[in-house]
Amino acid sequence: MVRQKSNTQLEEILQVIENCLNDDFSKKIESSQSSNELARIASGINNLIEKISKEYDSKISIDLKIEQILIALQRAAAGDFSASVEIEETSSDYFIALASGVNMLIEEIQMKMNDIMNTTVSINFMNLIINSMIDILIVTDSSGIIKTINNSALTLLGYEAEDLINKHIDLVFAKSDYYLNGIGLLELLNTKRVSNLQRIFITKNGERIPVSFSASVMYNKDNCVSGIVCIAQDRSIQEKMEAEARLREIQLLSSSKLATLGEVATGVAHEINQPLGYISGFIQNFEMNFDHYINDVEWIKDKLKKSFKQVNRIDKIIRHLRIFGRKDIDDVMTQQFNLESVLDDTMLIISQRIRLRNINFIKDIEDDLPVVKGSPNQMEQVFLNFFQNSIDALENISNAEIRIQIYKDKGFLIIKFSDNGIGITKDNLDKIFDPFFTTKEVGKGTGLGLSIVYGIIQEFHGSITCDSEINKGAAFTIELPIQETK
Amino acid sequence: MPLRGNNVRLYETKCKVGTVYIEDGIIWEIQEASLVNLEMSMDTIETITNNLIDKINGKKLLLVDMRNVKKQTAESRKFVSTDPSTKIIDKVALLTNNPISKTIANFFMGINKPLIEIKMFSNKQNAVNWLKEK
Repeated sequence: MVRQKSNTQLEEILQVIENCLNDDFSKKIESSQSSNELARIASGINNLIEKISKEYDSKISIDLKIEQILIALQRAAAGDFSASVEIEETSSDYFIALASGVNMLIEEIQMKMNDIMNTTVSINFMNLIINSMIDILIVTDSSGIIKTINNSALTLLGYEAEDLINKHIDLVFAKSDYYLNGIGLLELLNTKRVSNLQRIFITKNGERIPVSFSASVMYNKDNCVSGIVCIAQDRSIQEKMEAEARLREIQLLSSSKLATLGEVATGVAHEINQPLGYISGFIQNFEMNFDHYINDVEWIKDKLKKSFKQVNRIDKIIRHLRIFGRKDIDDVMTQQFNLESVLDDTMLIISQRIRLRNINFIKDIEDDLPVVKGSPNQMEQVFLNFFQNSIDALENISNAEIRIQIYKDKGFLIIKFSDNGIGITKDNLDKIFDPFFTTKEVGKGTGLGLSIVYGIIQEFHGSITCDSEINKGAAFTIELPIQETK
Repeated sequence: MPLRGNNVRLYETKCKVGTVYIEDGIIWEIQEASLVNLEMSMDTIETITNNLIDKINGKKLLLVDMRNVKKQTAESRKFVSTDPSTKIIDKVALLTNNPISKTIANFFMGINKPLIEIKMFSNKQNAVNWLKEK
């Protein structure tokens, strides 16, 4: 009976040990009914199982934690940087340190990746910049084949990127403006950059777009030419505004000229009246003394010849007034003319006034002056405004004098126009070129004359200055650069 | 409990991360929080700048007792290592004594690479001596 009981207990012990070998530490040996020896053995085995069980739990716990770390690392390696290792306060310091290290590494990688995505190294970031540009950007290889083109260019030109990529950039230039072809390309490679060339782009629909075009050669790290970076700015709006401004300027010039003509009308009437008087006198005399002169053929021929000369003079004045009064839209700035002949034309409509005011006019012009490039009509406007101002300034002045000198000096043509009139005060000297500034009585001057003169001289690429002393007169000096003429 | 200096503490001020004060010509930053975030780091620099920095003659030395710290956020590490406001300090000693704070300190010095001269110590006196070296 005792043996049978012992065998049962031994079987129980063996069963518990077998469970332990199968990682089942839940069963313990019941030792209460055992003999002393067996009870001691059972207690010892139970203690052993408990210890193994704790070690086993600890091993499982570490395995689970390592598995957590591995999962976090695998997720990070797959690009999921939200992965982290959960840290329990009860964990050992070493595990917390290890887990913290892994978490910090993942965080740092994520931050570095974000930095890369937001720096110039990132292709996406570069594309964002390129496509946010207002200006047109076209990058070609070293032979002018388009490799990159930005949205501004595509929008302006009306193309899709695939229409232009791998095509020659000259496709977008007007034929007359082909640039990166042949000589233009060689020139660019030689000079390394060109800037602000005025060129015309042609859109997909054939529309012409004026652009300001710049290009520079791009080098790789081995200092070899790797491409050409082209930047262009749409000038359509700017050119339209410039054309409108030019039109306004012409209109202003025109109204100023008409005002000047109005002011010189009295003088012009005298200019015309004088030859008319001669003709009229001849006709009246001939009519009244017809019988006396009818047989004097020589007298008649002489008078007719002189009358015809006077008619020619009137015709010349009227023709000139018509030319002078017209708008200058077609009056290109590229004509070549002689300053002295322009001065003579001016005298046609102003000389009578000078004579009537008893003004002594002195003309001192150097021989063989070079021709001037620009609008003769505008230069006449300059002279006319000077004369007009001087005549007004010389009112009630005895020994009145207007002097004009024209000569060459160090690459410049100098025009000095002076009078000994009332002069200009020091305060007013700074304002005389301002539009609508006048010291004349209301209704006598528009205040536009000298500002128009200033604008015209600017168009001639020249400069104008004025010296004056009150009651001693005024002297205007114009310097025009002498240009080579073909 | 973080170790404090043996001398008299001056200008002791509480801040979000713990306490700052001057002792023996050195600014002490006792990090009492176990988690240090960006807000705490910014607050510490602001507190030191406003209350302590102009009280120090000569080199501005900082001893950071981070033995209680279990975690420092990435934003905080980045701020402390790169923000211009931290340049008010000339030299920093980090005091650690356990694997966690040592890992954080090592990480900060190795990965974030702060611009200021910085070194890690597990002994307070060694840290003070190093800070005072010319």
